[in-house]
This record gives sequence, structure tokens and C-alpha cells, in this order.
Amino acid sequence: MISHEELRSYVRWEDGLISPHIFSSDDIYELEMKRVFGRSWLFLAHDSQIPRPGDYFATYMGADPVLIVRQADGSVAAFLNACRHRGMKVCRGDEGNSKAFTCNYHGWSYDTAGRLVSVPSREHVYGEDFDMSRWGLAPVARLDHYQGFWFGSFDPSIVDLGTYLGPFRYYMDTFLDTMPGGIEFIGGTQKAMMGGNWKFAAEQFAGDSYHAATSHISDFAVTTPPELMPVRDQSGDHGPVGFHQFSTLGGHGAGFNTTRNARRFAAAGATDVIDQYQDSIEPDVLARYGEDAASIYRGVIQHANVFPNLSFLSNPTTVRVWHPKGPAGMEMYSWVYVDKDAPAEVKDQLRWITQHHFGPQGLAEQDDGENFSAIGSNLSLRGPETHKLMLHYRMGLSDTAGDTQPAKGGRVKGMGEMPQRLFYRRWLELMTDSGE
Amino acid sequence: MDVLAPEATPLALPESLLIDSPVRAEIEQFLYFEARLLDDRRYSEWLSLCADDIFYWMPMRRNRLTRDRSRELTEVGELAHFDENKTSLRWRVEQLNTNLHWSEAPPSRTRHLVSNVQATPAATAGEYDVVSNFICYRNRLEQDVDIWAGERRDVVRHVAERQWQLAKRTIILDQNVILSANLSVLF
Repeated sequence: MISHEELRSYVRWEDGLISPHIFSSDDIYELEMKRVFGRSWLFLAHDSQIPRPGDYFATYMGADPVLIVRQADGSVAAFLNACRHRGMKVCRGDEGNSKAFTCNYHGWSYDTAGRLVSVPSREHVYGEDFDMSRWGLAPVARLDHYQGFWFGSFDPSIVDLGTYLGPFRYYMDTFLDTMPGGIEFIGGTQKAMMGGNWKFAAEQFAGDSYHAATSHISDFAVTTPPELMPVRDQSGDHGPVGFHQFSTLGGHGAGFNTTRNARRFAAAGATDVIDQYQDSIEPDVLARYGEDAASIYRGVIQHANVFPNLSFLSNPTTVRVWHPKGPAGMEMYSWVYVDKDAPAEVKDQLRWITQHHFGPQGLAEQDDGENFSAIGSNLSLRGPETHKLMLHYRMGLSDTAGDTQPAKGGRVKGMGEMPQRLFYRRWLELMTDSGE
Repeated sequence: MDVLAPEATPLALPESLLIDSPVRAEIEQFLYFEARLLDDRRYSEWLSLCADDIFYWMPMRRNRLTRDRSRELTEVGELAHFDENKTSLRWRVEQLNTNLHWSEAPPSRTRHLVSNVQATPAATAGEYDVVSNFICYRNRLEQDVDIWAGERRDVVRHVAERQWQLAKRTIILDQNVILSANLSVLF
């Protein structure tokens, strides 16, 4: 068992120093499945993925397979996708509609609420006293939703989702609640396996605007016209003009740019219909949320992460989860979201341009997959000298930590690694809480 | 259950597959030609084989239970692994040529194998529907290996003597979760 002292020596977040051990150790991986994924709110599915009774979506909460299912009364249920008899998946579809979930090993069958409703030859093989009510699929302890996003938690005593999201809600609202109808996901879940630890992707979306200029230089070179490049003017405070970062003690983080052409820069290659549409929405955002939020909408959320593993971009419009698959592997589930009431042409352009920058085929994200996988394989042999290194998370170390503005979280101008430091601060807090 | 009765006669080869063998041979050579260009990293020349109106598409493949089986593939307009026109294929080729595209710099070693070619005349004169199977092997850096297998449903267009172009390519990849760090190769 790894000691709390050892964990603290690996995550010296106040000094901006992080050990490679947290990205490569089997022991740390197993512990974080319990202490981080077991005690956080984890994204399951969006309302628009499961609109009708019986609609289900199969996903994971950390290392645990989970089914989320729309109930006949419109509510949602979620439970482990593991038969109580031998642990087989009771649903082997990715998504769809079903009246029941029947295990194909011995035929135990569960209804859409997870109740055990049928056991083959039950009276003959188990006798009269078999109590089916005790052997339903294990429910996810807590379910809650925000802006149509359903989350689950295995921790029955976790704070409610609104409290958990805290000031991150302010930023979510600026890109998810701009139209009365809200947003919807376009059909299809893109799934891709990458090497490398899940935290590489989560921390990148929390705070890493720094990598883009190098990692994605070839995307910019081919898609981004010169007139959009001034947004990369580095003469602002600590980096690009108009750039800000948000971070919070809850471990969530985001980076956004409030200059008007930032969103066109971020979705370079799209037709003007997206820009015209977003311009037309801006007065509504201004009226509803005020100038500060409108300035974020006018620009772009360039990256965001809800602790631990749910990430967003506001243009292109993608939502994704990084499912941990061992210390050196992660599986991305990626979606494209659009305003439900947007014109069809706008929705289609958003889908098209988002998938041209993001996803394993994306002109940008191909190279993230390369980088994450390459770091993973570089650490996978656990070279003792490599693991003596403390990695540098010290950009903007003098920035003030914490929730300096209760509604909006901590904010700094320009680039820095405060969101990453607070991500690991939260991670360490959970990892060193033995629950005793 | 779809089981043949004992007296059933052998399923006949569709007559449409029996096109003139010189044409069939030339179409096969075209497929090998473009595969060779990709393996030789002659991407710009490969792009010249794509028609200006090309639709190059790789839908996603989902695990679907029995009654949802018809929804295995995502549809046009839903998410896809590739949804390309000539402009976006040009982006990909230009990106490969930057030498700053880290997924392919240093470059991968690829081998496109094409087989099971079946060509039938399409409704438009000079166009053929061509179905083939492929395996693309990628080896890169020290030990990275990816193997992609699948089917391609192409429409190839005869443009001029010895000149053919791809008018449409649908790639049915035999993977649910993409198992490679990226899809930085063309199929």
C-alpha cells in the first residue's frame, strides 16, 4: 500500500513539481480508481442520447462498466453492467433501446430499472426462498444532472452536483445554455484508445493552452488563414492577447480567449454560417448573463475540464470523457454538441469542422494522441532515473490559488499552469483521504 | 433462420461482375497504383487521383443488439471517422507534407494491401462501383504497430486514357473503438 507521505512527495503542487510515478504506477492506478473515481461526479450521458423509455447508453465510471437507461416515467437509472451471478456484461450493445437486459451466460434477466425479473428454472435450481429483490444490478449510488448532462457517483455522501461543479457552472452556461432549447448531441459516439495515462488528457483540457502552438502547428499551417493568426499575438499578459484562465479548488479548469476572432481561429476552415449564427446569439447571451459572460461567448472556451475526466471545447463544439484503461492507456469517448434550435446548416458545419480538428482523425488531435501515447510508452518501463525527475508544472507559479471570485472561480490573465496545479491538488486531496 | 434447403442450387456469380477483363484489370491496377503512392509517401500525387467532387467517408461502427442491428453504421450527417471533400483531403495531404505533423514525423512505415476486388458498371457511363478489402499495416518509431482491416466501397471514374479518379470512397473499418493513437494515414 502506497503511503500518504509518498503520494505527497509525488505531487508537490504548491511548488509545481509532479513525479512521473503518478502516470505509471499500477498501485497508484488502483488507488485512484477507488479514491478519485469512487468519490467524484462522473459524466454518464446527455439527455439527447437517451430520449425515449428503454434507451440506454453503455459507458464506464472509472474502471467500472455502467449502463444508463431512460425509464418509462422519464427519469433515468444507472447501474453496473455486471450480472450478479458471474459478473458478465448484461448488455453488450453500445447504445440502443431495450425492454430488458438478459445475461447470455445463464439467462438472468433484468428490467430497465435494473431489477432482477427472471431467472431460468429458478424454483427448480434455487428453491422457493430465492429472493429476486436482493439480486438486482448494483445501482450507481447518486445521479444528478446539469444542463442535460447526467452524472453519477459511487459515493452516497458526495455533495450535490451543483456544489461540486461550483463556479464551473458559470462557464458551462456560456456555451451550453445560450438558446432556450439547450443543446443536443449529434448522433454517434466516437471511441478511440490511446496510450498514456488519462490524467495527461484531463490536465491538458484543464489548463494547457501552451501546447497548441507546437503540438498543432501543422493544423494551423494548413487550415488557418493569416488574418486569423493575430489571435496568437503573444504580447498580452503572460501570453496571447485576450487570454484568461479559470481554476478552482474543486480541480476544474478552463482557458478562454475573449477576442472576437478567437472562435474563428479555433474553428478555422469552417464556413461563415457558424460565425453569423454565433453573432446572432450574442445579444441573447449578453441579456441573460451580462458582458463578462458575453465576452467569453464572443471569444471561445479553448479548453475546459470538469474534474476528473470530462472535457469541453466551445468552438469547435466537443464534449469528451477520458476513460482510464490502466496506468498507460485511456479511451476517449467524444461527441459533438450543437444548439438544439440552431439551423440544420449550422449544426452540420459544426459537426464537420469539429471532427476535422478533433478526434483521432482530427488535424489537431491526431498529434495529441501521438504525444500522450509517446509519453505513456516512455514511462512504461518505469526507468528509475526517469522516475527521479520531477516534471515542471511551474508556469505562473506566483498566481494566486483558489476561488478568488466565488461565482467565477480563480481567474488569471494569460497562460499559466494553475489549473493543472489545482487539478493535482484536488487529486492528492482525494488520494490521501483514506476515508477513516 | 436463413438456412438453405438441401435442394438449393449454387448461388450464381452476379452477371454484373463479369465485365470485360481488360477494364477489370485496369481498375485493379488503379487501386494498386494509388496504394503504392500512399506507401511511397507521394501524397500530392495521390490527391490528383481524387475527383474534385469526391466524397471520402468512414462511418463509425457500433455494437448493436439484434433489433438495432440495422443501425450498426453511423449515417451521413452523424459522426464519422472521416467525412472528407477535396478541400479537407487537401488539408490532410498538406499537413502530411509539412514535416511538422508529429503523428507522421518521423514518418510511419505503411503497407496498404488491397484484395477481393469486385468491379461492376455504375449507373453513370464511365463509372464503376468497386468493392475491395484492405489491410493497412503501420509500423512507426521503435515498436509501434497498428493494423487496420476493412472494406472499401468505391466509385471510380474513367477520365481519359490511363487516367482514373476516385469519385467516392466509403471505408468500412473493422473496429469499434479506434485502436491506434490516431488515424493519420489515408485508406
